[in-house]
Amino acid sequence: MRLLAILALCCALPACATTRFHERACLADRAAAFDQDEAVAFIRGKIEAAREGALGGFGHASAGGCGCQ
Amino acid sequence: MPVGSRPRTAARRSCQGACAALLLALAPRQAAAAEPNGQASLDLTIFTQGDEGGDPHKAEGLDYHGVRLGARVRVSDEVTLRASAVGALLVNDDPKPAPPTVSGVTITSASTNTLTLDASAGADIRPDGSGATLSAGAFYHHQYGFIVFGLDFGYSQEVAGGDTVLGTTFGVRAAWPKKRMWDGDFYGWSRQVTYNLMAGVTQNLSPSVVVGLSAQLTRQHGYLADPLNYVVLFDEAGAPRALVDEELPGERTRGQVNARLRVTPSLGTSFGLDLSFYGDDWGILHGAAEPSFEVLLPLDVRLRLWTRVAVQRASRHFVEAPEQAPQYVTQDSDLGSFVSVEPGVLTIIPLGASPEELSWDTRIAVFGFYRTDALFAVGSTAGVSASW
Repeated sequence: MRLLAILALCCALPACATTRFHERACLADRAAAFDQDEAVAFIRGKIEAAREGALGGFGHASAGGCGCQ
Repeated sequence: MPVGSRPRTAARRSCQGACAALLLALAPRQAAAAEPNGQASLDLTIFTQGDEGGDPHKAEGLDYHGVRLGARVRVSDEVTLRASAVGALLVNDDPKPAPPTVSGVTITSASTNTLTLDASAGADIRPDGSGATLSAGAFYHHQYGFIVFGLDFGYSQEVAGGDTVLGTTFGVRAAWPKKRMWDGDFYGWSRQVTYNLMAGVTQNLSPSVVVGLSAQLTRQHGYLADPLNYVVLFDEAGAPRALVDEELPGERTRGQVNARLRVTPSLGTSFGLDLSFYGDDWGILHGAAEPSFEVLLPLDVRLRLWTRVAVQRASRHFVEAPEQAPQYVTQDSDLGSFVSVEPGVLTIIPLGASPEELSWDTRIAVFGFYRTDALFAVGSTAGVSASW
């Protein structure tokens, strides 16, 4: 069953090509980026991790941060 | 129907179903965007937190002053190096005295002024033509009584012609907190280890819509309490009678799922929505939503607005007015229940190019938060960066 699911996924992935190369100008624009600015993201991440019981942010590669308060 | 095409509706349905069924690491989608060969930045941050509530027995006001240096350099077609360092001074409010009905204790603090250093360095390797990115990084944090070393590793893969990015990251943090307690007692150095695994997928749904889904699992063990926190015990009449150390479990398993959406109908304009939902085995539940809007103003000035709203349910170890100390107990308001609203605005102003072919821009951000337990803060970051 697991193998079937993986095969189905591999067959479906090529169908995920939803844009052509020349259609990606808006997607490549800075406004479309999830994280806007490293300095702002750093201080916001520190505040949220220190002042809340959650991990903060919406997906940090280095979640857990410094662990400091 | 054009030759070589196939029904896109059916194909998209199978794609969306497959993507929804698989959660792997979230990789930086910006790999698809043109990047400069190098960038250097300098930012100054000030932040002040006020305390009109929170833990009624603890002074939680502080002022933060920080300086951040960052750099990113493409040393070859396949390798980019990055580094950052943040130095900061935290000035904490003086600790509140012990309640008058509690005798024989003195509340101290390690210091009302704390210097901190955060440093990180890493490399991103993109083998030509593979659509893959390998990342590795190191992290270091230093402040009086708390030292952290960390490593991060990541892998991402573009598939489906670059419309889909799958990836995973793994990070570890080893920390050494100094157990100098709130009353001045010293119990030596302790240890805390954090493992973090994140997996996700980014998918272009159309020429103007991109979504990201990710899941994080964090496992911590070691000394997870705060030595400067204490817990107030009360008598039957509700008056404070004693202060004891904060006690928290030596293990913590934490999970968070995230969803992100950007709709960019035209260059420079985007509507965003970010969602997260968190839970851990200390009983904390937390949800957050952040709508955002960005627009391109005249003279290529970018303006971004956001408001994050978060709701948290307290840890089961959080007890407001205990008469006896259970095995695990805390009165840390950050582990309590609250609603938090966090608005912000960011402006990025291009300054033009210099004769050395450096492109300069400056940015100013103002942000803050207000919690329903009457903690609040406002801060600002101002910086300048050069790209080449």
